[in-house]
Amino acid sequence: MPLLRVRDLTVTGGPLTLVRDVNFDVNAGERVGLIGESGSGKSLTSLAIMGLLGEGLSARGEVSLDGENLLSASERRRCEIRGNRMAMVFQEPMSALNPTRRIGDQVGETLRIHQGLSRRAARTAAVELLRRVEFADPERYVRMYPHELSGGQRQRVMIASALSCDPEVILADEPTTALDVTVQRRVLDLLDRLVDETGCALLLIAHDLAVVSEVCDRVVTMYGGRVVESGSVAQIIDEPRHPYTRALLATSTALSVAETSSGANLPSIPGSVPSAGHFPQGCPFRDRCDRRVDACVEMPPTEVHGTRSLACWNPVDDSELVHEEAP
Amino acid sequence: MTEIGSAPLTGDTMVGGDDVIEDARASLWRRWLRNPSALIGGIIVVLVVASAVISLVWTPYNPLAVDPSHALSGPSLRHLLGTDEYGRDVFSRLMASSQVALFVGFLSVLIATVVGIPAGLLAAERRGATGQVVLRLADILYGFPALLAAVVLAAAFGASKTTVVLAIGISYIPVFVRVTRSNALVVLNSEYVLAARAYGRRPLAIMRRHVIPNILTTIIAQMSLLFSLAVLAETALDFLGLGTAAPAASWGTMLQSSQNYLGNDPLLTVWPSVAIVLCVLGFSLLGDGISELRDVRSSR
Amino acid sequence: MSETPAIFDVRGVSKIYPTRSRRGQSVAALRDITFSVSDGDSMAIVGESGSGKSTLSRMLLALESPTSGTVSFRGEVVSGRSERELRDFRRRVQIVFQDPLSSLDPRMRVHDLLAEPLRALKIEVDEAERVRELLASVEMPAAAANRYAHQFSGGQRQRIAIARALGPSPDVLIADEPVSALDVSVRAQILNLLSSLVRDFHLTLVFVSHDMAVVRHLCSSIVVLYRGDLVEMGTTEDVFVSPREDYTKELLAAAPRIRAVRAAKRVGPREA
Repeated sequence: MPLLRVRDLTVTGGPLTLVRDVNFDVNAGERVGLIGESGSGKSLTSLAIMGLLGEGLSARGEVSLDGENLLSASERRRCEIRGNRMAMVFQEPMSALNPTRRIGDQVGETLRIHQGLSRRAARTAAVELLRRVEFADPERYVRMYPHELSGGQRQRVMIASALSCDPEVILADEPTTALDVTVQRRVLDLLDRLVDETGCALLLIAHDLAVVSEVCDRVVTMYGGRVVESGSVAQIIDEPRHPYTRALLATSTALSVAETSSGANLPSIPGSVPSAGHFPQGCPFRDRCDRRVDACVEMPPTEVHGTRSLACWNPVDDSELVHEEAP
Repeated sequence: MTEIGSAPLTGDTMVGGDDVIEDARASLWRRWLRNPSALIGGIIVVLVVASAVISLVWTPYNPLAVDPSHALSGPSLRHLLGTDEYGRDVFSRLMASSQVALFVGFLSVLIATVVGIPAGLLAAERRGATGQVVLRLADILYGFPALLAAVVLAAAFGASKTTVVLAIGISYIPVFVRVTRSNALVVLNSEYVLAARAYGRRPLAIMRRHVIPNILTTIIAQMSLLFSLAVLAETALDFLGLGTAAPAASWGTMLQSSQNYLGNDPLLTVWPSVAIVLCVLGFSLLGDGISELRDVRSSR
Repeated sequence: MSETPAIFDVRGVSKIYPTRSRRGQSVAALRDITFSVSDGDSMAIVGESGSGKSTLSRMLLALESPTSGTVSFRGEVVSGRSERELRDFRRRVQIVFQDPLSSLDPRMRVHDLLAEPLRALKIEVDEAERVRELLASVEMPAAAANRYAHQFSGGQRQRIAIARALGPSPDVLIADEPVSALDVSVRAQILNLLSSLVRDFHLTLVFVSHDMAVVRHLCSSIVVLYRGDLVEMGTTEDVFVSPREDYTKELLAAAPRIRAVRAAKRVGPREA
């Protein structure tokens, strides 16, 4: 049984369906990357999993942790799980941290809530946690306030706080997007190492396939609130089948330091992501797709082959993939 | 965070441009109607203003007409809210008083804004010595409460509506200096102002085109709130005999003279109190409502 | 030196900010920076937070003056000049900022946003016509003119910001992290747009970024800043192929790239 099981997850806001029939699993100790552009529904999916959807949004379907459906659980039960067995790291640590409280108190807070630690014990634990996320002088940092830290340090504080109760799964929503390149590298390496050490599972939400490919075992691609493709990192980057995944991959590859400059245009996806509720009927990607066929007015069924899933009427086939590598 | 809120518009949905503007206006209206503070505050303010305007041309009785034979008669069909110790019609006097309240409120807020807003903008634009001087002057004024100012002015020039207006108006200048300055600073530090400087916009034009439109709703909300406080201060000063001179009607003087008859006719105290509470509540609710309505358009 | 003066000549520029701390020390945002940008060049200024790159771009725009040293535009010193003297300079040098939402006044319609520079610089054109033209040049429909910035997606907003910068027909476009706030897929669109505009309008481009990967396609030379110092300068190919400074190497190594790292680490644990 998978650790985290998401089945037919649908998120609605008023008359709009923002996330539709999302299915994927995260096994114990596994790292799954959820990718897609802004507006693809990936952040909503992660918030729905955490049970943190905002006013006016509701989720149905199934989100199970160890077989227990969280969507039908009471808010009290969910509070017991949140931060304890499932922790979240947000994109913008400055707004996720309380500006008026010391770092040490915030890192230790989860422990006080879930393990009933005293204030003093929590502070001692916070020092240890900060040391684990590579603060050289944690005794000094526990007494500081968020504004006294750099962006990278704040994100490490968030990671320390997420790790505090030894969760079984960490959800990280664009944890390095707001950071400089060298700081991003440090935070990614840190996250990578800590997830390895603790053996917890990771659901990494990102718009950059490169970040996901370096950190994760498996990739789930979302577009228009649906999962359009999933597979192992190697499968996805070697032979993407969905035209959207392929386009994302092409862009990320071209926009990488490893790629030599061509002077030619960078591959990109034409048009832009429609607003919620304005995706076309059928396959949500069909308006922007270069492999569109008549059948695309119907939503393609999701076909599962082993570790891969795909929802496309006209997937990229092998001959083209070979062709891809030539130029 | 919620992707629904920041939903971008795109290619295919971007056809008719004009209906969008209609939408923006309609939705402001709709939001106004749906916001309880703005709606209730607005209704009360309209009622107060209407009664003041009507009282200019018509009141049931002359508010100053003395009729000793009907002194202290309680509410009746002839005198809806009864009469006071001189037999004057209370309802007419309440209506006439709303003129005073609005007059004082309007003029004092006008004085406070005419001086306070430019001073606040100046302090935001010139962050050096000039700005510091403006701020310190505002601090000095701030330490000098309206009531005290009124006592001093009344001692020097005699009690009158003018002294009340001046006292309240001057004492609210620092509030506008501070509110204007802090909001203007946010705009001045924004990248769109930096962009405007980069294409050669001068400071005055930046104030007019970017700063003022962006701080306007905040200022209007603040004006509405201060209006209510001005009405309150005016009634207090009248109550203390530092403002409107008898026999002219004002809520403060009515409240003051009714005290003597608290035993005989407690309703005489109730009516002006209700008027004061309603008027103050109306303007402060409106102020709250406006600041809640503010920037739904740009808050993303 | 050659006979035609460079577009930008930055000579020994330093910027020192006094701090109000009790110790009274001052902070050097930039130390002794010297480089030049020639006509038609596309130059990248690469550096991370605290490198001084934003200060430098503001100096190129004559919005800030150096503490010492000079910034010249076509042979004339621009720092410390009055706005009156800078009138022509303001038309010739335009900027695009990182976050289009904060660089576009939320209370102005797109029409006004695009017309503002024309009005400020007293450029005599048919406003409506010019706005349509500008929108077309960034591949936006004319109907966009009636809308507000928040009604668009991030990429579309950045197109509007670019259109605004093109309004006065500048010689130089300074782009300060124009794609950092955007998704990777939208980044590529905006970079393609910038590169075609640079080509079509013969613009000189100064591209400020923290990300080496995005400058590679657009820029012919690179200046690397680290904590206020210019640590490396050269053609893009040289800097990428044989970076001399450790910091440059770190910048290149740090960028994530497509590679299945985990698959190499552990083989087939999935069935367990």
